[in-house]
Amino acid sequence: MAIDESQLLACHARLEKPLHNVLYRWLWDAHECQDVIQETFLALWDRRARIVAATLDAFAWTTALNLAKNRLRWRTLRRYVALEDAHDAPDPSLTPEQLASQSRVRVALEALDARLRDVLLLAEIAGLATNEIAAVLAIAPGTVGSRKHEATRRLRALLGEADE
Amino acid sequence: MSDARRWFPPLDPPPGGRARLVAAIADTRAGDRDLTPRQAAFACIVLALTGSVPAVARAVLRPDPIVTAIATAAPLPGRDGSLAMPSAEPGVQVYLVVATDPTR
Repeated sequence: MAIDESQLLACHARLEKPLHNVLYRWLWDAHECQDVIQETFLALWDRRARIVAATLDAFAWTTALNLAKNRLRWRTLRRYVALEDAHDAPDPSLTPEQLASQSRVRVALEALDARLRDVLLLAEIAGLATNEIAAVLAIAPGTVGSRKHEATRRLRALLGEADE
Repeated sequence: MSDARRWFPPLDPPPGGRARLVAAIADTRAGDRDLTPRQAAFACIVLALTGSVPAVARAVLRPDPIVTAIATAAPLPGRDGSLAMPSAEPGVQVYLVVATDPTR
């Protein structure tokens, strides 16, 4: 048991981009995504003695998703009591067309149940296999399949696209 | 183009993430890592609780008024064979009675 610094940095190199892409579809703020990724890997580093290398990636995904959702809850609270302007920092790499399309996708994603959204993002953006998603979300592989199917169907409907 | 590609165009994370992580790990090794907001909030609660310890201790460990009265009494000459001992404890008066009969 226990991971070392080189294993953690290798995991960071492997997961930074997929984590950024998934977290961005939760937080819609590129800077906050980077903060969450940093916080995730520092949390892993703090618990390195109790982490097995084989489950490092799943642990990273679970930690990052939990941290992102905690931030969303705090953000909602801060905005409710007007401590913060409702302003997100869009990803600077997006083109104007992509930004326009993204705002439609954002509205649709935010209308999705969080459990469906988790599965959809992990499958479609991170490219995780069914058993990997099951490990990250601590659910049965069969549940992953049904949630993914349901999430895709609902997202298509919300975006006004024809169902297959 | 697949649905996922259309809905979620791939984004590149800003550069410097790895360097920040390496620096943060070095900080933790040096023992001077900044507190996370959660840790800072916890530290504030602990400090507030620590600050209230003297008040709580005073309330809990308040000595018995009779003991305090005796401890702070100053004997004054009495008129009837006793010594009046006015004390600092309000509402408590201590008398020292000198018995002449050793059997009492």
